[in-house]
Amino acid sequence: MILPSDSDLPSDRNEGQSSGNPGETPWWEDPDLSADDENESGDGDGTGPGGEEDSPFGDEDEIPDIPPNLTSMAGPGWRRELGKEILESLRDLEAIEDPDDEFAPPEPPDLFTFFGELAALRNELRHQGQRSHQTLNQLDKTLAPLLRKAALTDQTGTSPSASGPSGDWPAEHRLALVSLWDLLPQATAVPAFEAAIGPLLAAAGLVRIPAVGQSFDPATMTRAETVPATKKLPAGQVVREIQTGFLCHGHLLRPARVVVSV
Amino acid sequence: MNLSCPFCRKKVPPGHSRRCRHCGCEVASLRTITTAAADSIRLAIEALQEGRDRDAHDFAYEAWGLRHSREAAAIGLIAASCLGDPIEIPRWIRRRREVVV
Repeated sequence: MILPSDSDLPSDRNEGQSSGNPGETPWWEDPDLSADDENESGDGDGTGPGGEEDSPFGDEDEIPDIPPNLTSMAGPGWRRELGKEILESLRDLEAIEDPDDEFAPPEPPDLFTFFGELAALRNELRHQGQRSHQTLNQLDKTLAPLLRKAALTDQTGTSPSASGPSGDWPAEHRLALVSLWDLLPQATAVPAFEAAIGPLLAAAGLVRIPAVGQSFDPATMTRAETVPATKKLPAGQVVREIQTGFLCHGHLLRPARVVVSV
Repeated sequence: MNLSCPFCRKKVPPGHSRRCRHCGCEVASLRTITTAAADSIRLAIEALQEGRDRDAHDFAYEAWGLRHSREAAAIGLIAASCLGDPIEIPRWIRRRREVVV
């Protein structure tokens, strides 16, 4: 049985109780409320609430009387607070994620997505193949005059360098050869390519600068990295070559980038 | 169902072309899958109309496996609701959320 709190009482009674006015009648002694209780508990046949057949609580004598100084255990405005708590609980329930989302295994992709990705990959491969084909064609066009010149040199037995320090080779052709040489480590699977470019370098008057195992020469080398020297590896020695250097008819075309022990 | 090229995302018009006319990507297999999924959805609708809820659910699941689509999710949810399956109903709701969102 929940008793109404002070704030749930009508304002005149509440004020009367809170002010402690002894002239006011407390709610449990209000004759109107007593009459309402009797009407609610009665079954309409004139039997009072104290009847033995009608009382759901058994004998009336067993029901203790409410002491006149009893006040509600609930604080003022308990209905509003309870409603607020229920609403908050409902919001918390809504915020709870579906546990199956977390524990259920992810669904496999559909066949359409799988084949779509496969078709996209195939198409990308096809496009890349076309681009590689175009690049190789362009390289072939660039190398064709160089190869013709090398063949001519082999036939006549004269080197283009004989015509002068710069020879007949334009500078961009020499640089193209050097760039081609830089690509060689990636093209080691094609030894014929390496064998073909060697005579071309010689025909163009290009000479590789020997680096690994040599002493560091600042005139022809650039120090890119350093490693600590050991007993087997004296200081100032080139350990590794990062980029090959070239001399063109004795002049420096490009310095070698090397790793030096210090 | 609409078909978009998986490579260039352009819409592929209905017809019998095997490749996307924008990028040349092959779309014949995707078209076949889409047609099969549409057939499964049609069979699921027919089964629902005839009261064969279990068959409708199976056809909807088949269509969903072929291609995740709103139609397959909707038919699957209806079939699962008709069956009163407490496990499949939330699954179809989740599947439908996946394609709607």
